[in-house]
Amino acid sequence: MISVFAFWRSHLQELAILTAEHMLLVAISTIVAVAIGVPLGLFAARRPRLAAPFVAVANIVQTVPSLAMFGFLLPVPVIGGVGARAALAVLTLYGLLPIVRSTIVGITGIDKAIREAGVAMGMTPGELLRQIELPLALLSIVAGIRVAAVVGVGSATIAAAIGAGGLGQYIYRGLSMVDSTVILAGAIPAALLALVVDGGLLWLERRLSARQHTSSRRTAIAAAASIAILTLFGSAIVSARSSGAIIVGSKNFTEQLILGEIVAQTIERETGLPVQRRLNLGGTLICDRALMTGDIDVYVEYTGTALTAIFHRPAAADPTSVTSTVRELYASSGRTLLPPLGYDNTFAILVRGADARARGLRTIEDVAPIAPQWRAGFGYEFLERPDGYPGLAKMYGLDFRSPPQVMDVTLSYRALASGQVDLIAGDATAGLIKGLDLFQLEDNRHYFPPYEAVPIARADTLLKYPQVRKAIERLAGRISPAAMREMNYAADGQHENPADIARKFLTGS
Amino acid sequence: MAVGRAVATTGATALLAGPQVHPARADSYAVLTFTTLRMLDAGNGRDVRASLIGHNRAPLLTILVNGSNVIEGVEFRDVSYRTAGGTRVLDTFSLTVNPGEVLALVGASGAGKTTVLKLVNRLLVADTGEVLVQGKDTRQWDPIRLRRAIGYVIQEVGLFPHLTVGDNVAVVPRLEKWPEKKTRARVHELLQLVALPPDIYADRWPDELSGGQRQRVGVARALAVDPPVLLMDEPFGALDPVTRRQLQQEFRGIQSRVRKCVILVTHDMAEAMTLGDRIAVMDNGRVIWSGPPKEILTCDDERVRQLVEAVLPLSPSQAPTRST
Repeated sequence: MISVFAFWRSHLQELAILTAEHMLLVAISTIVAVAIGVPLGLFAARRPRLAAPFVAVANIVQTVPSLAMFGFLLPVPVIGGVGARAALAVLTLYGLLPIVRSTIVGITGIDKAIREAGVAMGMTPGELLRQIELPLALLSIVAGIRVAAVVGVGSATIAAAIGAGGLGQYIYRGLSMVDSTVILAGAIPAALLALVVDGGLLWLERRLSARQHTSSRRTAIAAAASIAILTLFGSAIVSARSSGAIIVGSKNFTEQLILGEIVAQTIERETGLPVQRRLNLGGTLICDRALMTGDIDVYVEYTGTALTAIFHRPAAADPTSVTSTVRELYASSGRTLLPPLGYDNTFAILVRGADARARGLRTIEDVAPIAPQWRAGFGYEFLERPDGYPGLAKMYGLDFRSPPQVMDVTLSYRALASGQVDLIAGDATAGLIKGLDLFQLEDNRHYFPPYEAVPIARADTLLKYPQVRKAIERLAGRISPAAMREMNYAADGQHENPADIARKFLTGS
Repeated sequence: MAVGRAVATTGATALLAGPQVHPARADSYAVLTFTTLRMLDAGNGRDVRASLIGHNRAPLLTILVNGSNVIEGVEFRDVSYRTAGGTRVLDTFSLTVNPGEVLALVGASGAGKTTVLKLVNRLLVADTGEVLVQGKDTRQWDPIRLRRAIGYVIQEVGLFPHLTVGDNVAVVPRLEKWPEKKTRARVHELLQLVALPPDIYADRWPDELSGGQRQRVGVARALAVDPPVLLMDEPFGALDPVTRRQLQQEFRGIQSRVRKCVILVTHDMAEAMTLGDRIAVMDNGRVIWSGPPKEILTCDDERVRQLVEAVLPLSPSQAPTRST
C-alpha cells in the first residue's frame, strides 16, 4: 500500500491527467446517454408494446462484455476505431439501458389519476410532459443516471484498451508489468471516483425529492446542468489541444510500451511537434485498424506478425524476403515500413531453467518425448495465429497432457515459474526470462518466421511531416536484442516507468 | 320549437348568454326581457326564438339562434359508446344539463356514469350520436379549449404532488398565460372560497393535507378560470361522513355564488338529493328517470325505488320532503 502512495507521489501529474480523462469519458458519455436515453424512454413509455422488446434489446447490449463491444465497433465508421470517440460510443451504449429503463419506469409509474387530471385540465401533450410527467419522473430518471454513471466509471477503465486513456491505463500497464502496485494505482482512484459519482448524484436525488420549494429544486437542476456544460466545454478544450499532434500507438505489453515511448520521445526531441500517446492498445489487429483509420500515425510492428496475422500470408523463414514482402503489402494500403530497429523479437518457447538443466533440454525437438507429461499455457493470440501453436505442434510433434491453457501472455511467465504450467510461448526479448530464470528452447527447425521490430507509419503523415520520417529513421538499427531485453527487465523486474526507461535509453546511448 | 335547454330564469326575465358575451362570466350575463330579445333579433337579422317551458321550481327558457342552442349547457343526443373491448357502456343515451343547474347523475357502479363525464370533456368520443357543449359538438371543439372551459373534479382528486396547493390551483390560469399578479389574486380568492385560508395553505404540499382539504383544493383548481361547466365524479366519495356532509354544505354555498352548469356523478342517492337540482338515474347505459329530487320519492319504477330505498332509512334528513 505504501508503494502505491509512493507511485502516486512520483506520478502526480500523470495521475491528474488520467483521472481527468477518466472523468471526462464518463461525464460525456453519460450526458450523451441522457440526451438519447431520456427521449427514447419517453417514446417507449407511450408505446407499451414497443417498450418491452426495446428493454430486452438494451438488456442484451448490456450483457456484451465491454472488450467485445470495443471489438465489434472497431470496423464501424465514425463511432468505431480506437481512441476516445470509440470509447465514448461504447460507454454511451452501456449508459443507455439504465437511463431508458428508469425513464420508462418513472413515466409509467405516475398515478393514472394525476395524468388524467392534467389532460382534463386542457394540457397539451407538451405541457403535460414538461409540467407533470418529467418533474414526477425526474427522481427515477436521476436514479437511472446515477447507475449509468457509476457503471460508466467501471467500464471506462477498459477504454484504455483502445487508447482512450483514463485510469485503466495504470491497470493495463500494471497487468503487462505484472506489478500490482501499478494496478492498484489505477484501480483505487477508479473505485474512489465511482464512490464520489455515486454520492454526488445521490445528493442530487435527495435534493430533488426533498420537500422544498421549486426554486431550490431549480438550483439543483441548474447545478447539474452547469456541470454538464462545463464538461462539454472542458472536453472541447482537451480535444482541441490534442488535434494536430502526431499520434503514437503501441500494443499492450511491456516491450511495446517502451517502444512507443522511444518513438514518441524521439519525435518530440527531433521535430518539436506535439505528440499524443495512445499506448496500450489491446492487440495487433486493433493497432492495425487504428493505423488504417488514422486514429494513430505510427506504431512498432514485427515483420512476421504483419506477414501472417495482418496480411494472412504463409510464414516464411528468410528475413530479407519477409521484410520486402511486408513493405510492399503495407505500401499498397497507404502505409510505410520504416527501417528495422535492430532486433528480432521471435516467439520464445520457454521452460523453467531448472527443468532444462535437469533434463538437458536445448531445442524444441527435445521436448517432444516428454510433452505427454507436460502442460502448456499460451496467450490467446498464439493459439489462434497461423504462425502459432497448431503449426508448431505439427512441425515438432508436440502432444501435451491436456489442451494448452489459455492465459494472458504476461501472466504466463509467472505461471511457468510457479509450476502451474511447464511450457509457454513468450517473447524472446522478455525481461522476465532473465528475471525468473527461464530457458528459451531453440527453434532448430526454423518454424517461426523472423519478427524484426519495424516502425510502421501512415504514408500521408510522413508526407506532411517529412521531419517525422527523419526522426524515426534515426532509430534504425539502434536497439540490440540485449538492449531490448535489458529495458524489458527494467520495467518487469525493477518496476521502472516505461517513459523513464525510454528516456534513459535515448539520452544514454 | 325545441324545449328544455335554457339559462336560469326568473319570471319573464332571461339570463342570456349568447355568442356575443362570454358565457362564463356571471357579471356579463345579459339580463333580457322577451321584448329586448325580439329587438336584438330584429337588430341583427338572426333567427332568434325563445320559449318558456314549465318547471316545478322555476320557468325555464330555451333560446335558439339560427336553429341552434346558444346556451352554455351540456346536451347528449342519442349517444352510444363502446369500450375498446366492445362492451356497450352507453346506448342511445340522451340528457340535457342546463346552465346554473346541478344535475346529479346516479346509478349503480358500472352503469356508465364516469363515461358520461369523460364524453363531455372529450377524454372519450362518442361512437354515434352527439355530445354538445355550449351548443357545439365536442368533436368540433379544439380539445384543449374545450377542456379549459370545463372544470373536472374526481374522487382521487389528482392533485399534482410536486406542486404546492397554490401552484396546483394556478395550473390552468398559468396554462392560459394569465398575468402572474392576476393568477395569484385568483388563487387567493379561490382558496378563501373553499375555506382554506391562503396564508396557511397556499404553500403547503398536497400530502400535508387531509382528504377533505385535498378535495377542496380539487374544487378550487377546477374553478380556477371560471369555466361554465363543472364535472364532478364522486367528489366526496372517499371522505368520512362528517367531512362529506360539511363539504356538501359548502359546495351548495359555492354553487349558489358561481352558478355553474354542474354534472355531479354519485352512487349516493342521499348526496344526489342534497346537491342536485335535478336527478337523472342511469341504468344499463340509459337514463331511466329524471326529475327534481322530491319527485324521485314517488317514482314507481322498480329500479329507481331500489336505489331510493337503499338510502332513505339511513339518512332521513337528506330528503327534501318525505312522502308518508
